[in-house]
Amino acid sequence: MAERPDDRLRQAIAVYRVLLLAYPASHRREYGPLMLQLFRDLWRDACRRSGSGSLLKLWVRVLIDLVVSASAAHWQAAKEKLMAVAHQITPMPWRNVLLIVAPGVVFGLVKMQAAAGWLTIVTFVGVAALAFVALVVQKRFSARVLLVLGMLLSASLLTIGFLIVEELSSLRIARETRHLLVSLPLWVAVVALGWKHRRPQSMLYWAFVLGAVTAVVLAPLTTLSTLSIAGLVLLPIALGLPLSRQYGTRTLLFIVGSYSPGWATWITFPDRGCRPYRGSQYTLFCSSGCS
Amino acid sequence: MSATVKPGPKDVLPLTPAVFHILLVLAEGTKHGYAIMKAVETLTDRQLQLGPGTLYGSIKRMLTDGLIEESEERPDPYLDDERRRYYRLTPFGQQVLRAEVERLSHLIRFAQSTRLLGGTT
Repeated sequence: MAERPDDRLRQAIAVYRVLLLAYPASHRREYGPLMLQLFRDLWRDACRRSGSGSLLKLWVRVLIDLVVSASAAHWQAAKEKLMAVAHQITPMPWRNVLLIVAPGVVFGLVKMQAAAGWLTIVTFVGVAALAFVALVVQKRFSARVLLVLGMLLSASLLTIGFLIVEELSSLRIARETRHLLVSLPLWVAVVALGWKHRRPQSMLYWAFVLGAVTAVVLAPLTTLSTLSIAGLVLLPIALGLPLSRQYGTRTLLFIVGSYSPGWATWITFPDRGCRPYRGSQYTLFCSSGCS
Repeated sequence: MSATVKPGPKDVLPLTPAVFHILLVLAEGTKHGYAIMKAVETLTDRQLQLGPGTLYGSIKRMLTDGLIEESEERPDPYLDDERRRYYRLTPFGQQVLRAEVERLSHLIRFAQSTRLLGGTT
């Protein structure tokens, strides 16, 4: 039995309805029925012109149009989404910018003073330039940048801590005293940050308080090195407190980023095997486990 | 407080061929999607054939930019399909169209004056 024109139109519309899935959902909701209506009109036009050649031409035209316009619609939707995110984020306060950038600057200066290799200097200059563009010029950035900032901050802080411990060891100071000299300023910074940015309504704040109290309560039972490691663990959370005012739960990206160099080292060198890299640029990626 | 600066007609130039032709056919009066498509085909002697995606993608951008607006006015209620949406030019759209036509006229005058097209310069 021959197919009736109405059946073919119904089938064509069903196929076009599926093809419309290529467009972003918002575009489909708004213009999907209108595009279907237009396709129906074009189909009837092609049938009036008669011949399967007209229908074939229509499909070619519609398919080319679909590829081009769906890509443009996705690009436009992504652009609108990015713009909306950029408008939501308020500029970062200068003090927070300095808080994040300062450790990196100190790290770079220390490495340059120690006549570091060109690779370290180039890396540092590149990172500093990126940080400058992201934080100082633009002063607003996507939450994803928090992950990278956390990693940079943590790597810089750990390296500075490591360098200080190394310097102190050359002065023949007892191991416990060395840890006390490192952990004391660390804990002062952690407590000061926690106190200044206390927010009883924030989950992150209570996680910080719980961690700090646990560390202090268990302090008599543990060694000073454990206490300094606890300080290092709490520091990203303390630094995340001012960020959480602006970024909310997305601050977790910063904290995860901060812990990642430590985790990476732990996974790569489970037996603390990073000692041979001491003094080279690889110290950037060494965790406190090296000391 | 930062104030948002409203773009002028020249700020949105040059227009894409699709947007320019849609503005041009809407300058004649209110039309729905299919009528716009047919009018563009006739105007360009079928050299520019807009697909449904390109047409409604352009209409969406033009609505956002304030070049056109939806019209409640239905030209002939007896011939009309109530599911259709009608569009018309806004005053800003008219200014943009005028600015684009002036820009293109200037380019054509320049092209005609060059030796390439048999001009005197």
